[in-house]
Amino acid sequence: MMRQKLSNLSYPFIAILIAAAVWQVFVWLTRLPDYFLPLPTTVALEVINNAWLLLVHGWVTTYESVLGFLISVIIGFPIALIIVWSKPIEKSITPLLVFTQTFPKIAIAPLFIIWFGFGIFPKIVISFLVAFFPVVISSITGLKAVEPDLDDLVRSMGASDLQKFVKIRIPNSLPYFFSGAKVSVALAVVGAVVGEFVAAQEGLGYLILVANNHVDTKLMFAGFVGLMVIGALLYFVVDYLERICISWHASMREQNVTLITS
Amino acid sequence: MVLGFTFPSLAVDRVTLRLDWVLMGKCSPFFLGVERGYYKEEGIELKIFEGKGSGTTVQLIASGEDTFGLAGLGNLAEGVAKGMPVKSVYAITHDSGYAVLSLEESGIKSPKDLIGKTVGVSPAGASRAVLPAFLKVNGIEFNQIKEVAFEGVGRMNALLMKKVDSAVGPFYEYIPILESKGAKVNTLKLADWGLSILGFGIIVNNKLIAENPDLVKRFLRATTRSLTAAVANQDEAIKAMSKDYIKPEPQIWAYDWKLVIETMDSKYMKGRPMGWQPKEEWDQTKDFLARYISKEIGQVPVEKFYTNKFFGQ
Repeated sequence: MMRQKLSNLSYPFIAILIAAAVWQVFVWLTRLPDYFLPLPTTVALEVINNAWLLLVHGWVTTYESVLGFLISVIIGFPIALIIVWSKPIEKSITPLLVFTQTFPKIAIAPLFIIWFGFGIFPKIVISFLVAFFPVVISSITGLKAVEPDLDDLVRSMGASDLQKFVKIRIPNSLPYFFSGAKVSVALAVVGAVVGEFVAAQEGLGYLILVANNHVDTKLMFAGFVGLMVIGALLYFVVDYLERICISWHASMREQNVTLITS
Repeated sequence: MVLGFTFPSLAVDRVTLRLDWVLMGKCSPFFLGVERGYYKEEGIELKIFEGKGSGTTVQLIASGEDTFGLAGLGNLAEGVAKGMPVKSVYAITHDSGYAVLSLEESGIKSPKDLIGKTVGVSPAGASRAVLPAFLKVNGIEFNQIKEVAFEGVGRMNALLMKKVDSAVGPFYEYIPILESKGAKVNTLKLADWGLSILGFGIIVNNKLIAENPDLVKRFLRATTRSLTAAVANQDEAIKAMSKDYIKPEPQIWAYDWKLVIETMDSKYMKGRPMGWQPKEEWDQTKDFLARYISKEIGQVPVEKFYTNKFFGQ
């Protein structure tokens, strides 16, 4: 098992190395200046030189994203429950949900500063607004997708609507929920960064903004690397939680982890 | 991360200064002032915060979120015209520093050379407004140039990569960064063509003027000392600002501050104390803004934008 995990990890490593090599050669050949497109080696060096800075600010962005994600889940899943439980509520709320998704958060950004200030709150709000939709939608799909045979069976055994809901629908929805959660956690990072662009004194988004102000593209790229690492780490944490929570599900019986499950 | 923190002492006024943007050379006097204790001597514990554009800073002062603001006075005027209870109490620079900048290779040495060229501006900002004025004064039709909009620093990158022939922006911000990337820059300062509007200054909420004018007076006194010291000791000022910052750029900042100093004087300032706001300059600024940015500004009596009451004695 462990051997297989290690060899699985080598695949993405090799892919990244190949991509970096292509990038390196491309920049060498075209002689692009480093404020336009820095070499991967330049970026790597910048990451090492600024490791502490990236860690300190990366930590800030991480906890903003995690909070935004957790709130998305805590609010999102119950909303999905209410929507599936009550048709009138479904009909009234669903269009509003779509509005929050299509609304361009960055347009309202300057107002966010006036309303919420420069603290952690605006980042969490934006992170939440960006991240909660996938959780809600996938949970709704999961709560509704009960096999008709199973539904008939428990009804014939005299199950009440509430019992059906709690014992069948909710457990059944978990794989779908986790699928949405994986999308959501990545978006939560995006949201936190957008929040930092808007109003911040710390975080990787803020670092990228400051670097941008001095046309320090290599530091910006170092910031991007930091963000990618955060996104990947959080994704794998959710993936791990999924494996623990729903080890009984058919999709978990596969040895290899699939990154896209829906 | 709070910048410029001093240790608390008894009976001090705890105030905040909201800058107009992230740290740039022009902010160094305040850091020097905090370090040298000028604000402390006036009984002020000052916390300095970066901003997100002059427009936002004006709103933050209007909403009472911060005590003092460093903002472009053109943005202040726009805020006043919209009904915000704010005023300018001190002018630091008497020229906005707007210029049309281009790389030496482009050969743009005079306004007429802009004909047939592309000019980068910001989509929503003063640079977009000053361009038509500049062209008009030089007898160039707007359709003889091609205006391209780039947000913020994108303009600088575009200029360096020759994606645009020229760009409009404050020369003291652009020249240091462009030259640090090895470029040689041609500058057409709008002020040379009579297009001079006030630069940036200290703004406050009208409530503060009414309820605690003494605090304003003390703050401005410390600010004058800080500015004077920062002009005479530029390296020390930059060093004070570089401490504790996420990514200091002392060389760029030093050059930037040196260029800002050039805009701190004007012909109307003869015999006037530092920070004084000449009525002629405010009239010019209002006139320009009314014509090119918003007619509403033209309807506001100029006295509503500023006050010089904190000077004298």
